[in-house]
Amino acid sequence: MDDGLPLLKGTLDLLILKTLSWGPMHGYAIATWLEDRSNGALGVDDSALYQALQRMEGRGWLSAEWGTTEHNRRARYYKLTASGRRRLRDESAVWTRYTTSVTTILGLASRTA
Amino acid sequence: MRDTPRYRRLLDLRLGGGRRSAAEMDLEIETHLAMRVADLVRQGMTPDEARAAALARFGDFDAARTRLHAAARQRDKALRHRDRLGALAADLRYTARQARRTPGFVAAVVITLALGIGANTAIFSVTSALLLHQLPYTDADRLVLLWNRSPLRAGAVFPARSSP
Repeated sequence: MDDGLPLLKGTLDLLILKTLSWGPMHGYAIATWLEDRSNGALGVDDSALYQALQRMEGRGWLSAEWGTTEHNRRARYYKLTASGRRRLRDESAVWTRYTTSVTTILGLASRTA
Repeated sequence: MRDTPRYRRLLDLRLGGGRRSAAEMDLEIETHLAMRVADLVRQGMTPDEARAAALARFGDFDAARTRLHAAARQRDKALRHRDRLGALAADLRYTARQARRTPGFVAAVVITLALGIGANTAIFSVTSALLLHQLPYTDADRLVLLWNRSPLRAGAVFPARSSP
């Protein structure tokens, strides 16, 4: 993961929200889900992931409960709250507008001297 | 819904909830490491290598653990705050619902309060002006009011201004 792209500020929250829109998951499942979907391109630091999960739960975007994994391990399962779902919708729209604008500008043909 | 029932979180305020938040975080980290190690071993690492690799993904593990403890405490504080606000909102909603169900009682209470406060205010205004506040003159207790009796019109009385 050392060679993964560094995450832009605020991106991790959005990625976590999106991941959890697929259903409740524990922290490790979120990490592997993101690694798999991005083919290992996104560098998610495990410590930063849990940091973000605690912060987002504190803000009421996620709720968590202890459950048991298929291998009989106790794990803390996170899931989206209604406010988290709203947050995902709003932040996705902002992200799309932002990246579209930047991509448009980067795609402009350079003025040749 | 959440891992900790609400009454437990309210009690935690008194029972060293910070330590509980940290212990819970440790359990969560341990689960994460165990799952990572299991995956890495399946991919061919020895258990020791896998453990080291799993720890390395937290960066400086001890520093990360301390930061995560703080984050968990912060989270539980925020959740307790949220619970209290939620409880207050629920109480207010319950009160409003009860009030709607017994409009006669509410009217009686409101009228009683209105009359009580109104009467008190009226009486106090008069009392305050008459008994508590002096007139805005020096030696207010020595002010007099003089009356003239008219010799032309029997019975007519005119107040006369007293000049100091």
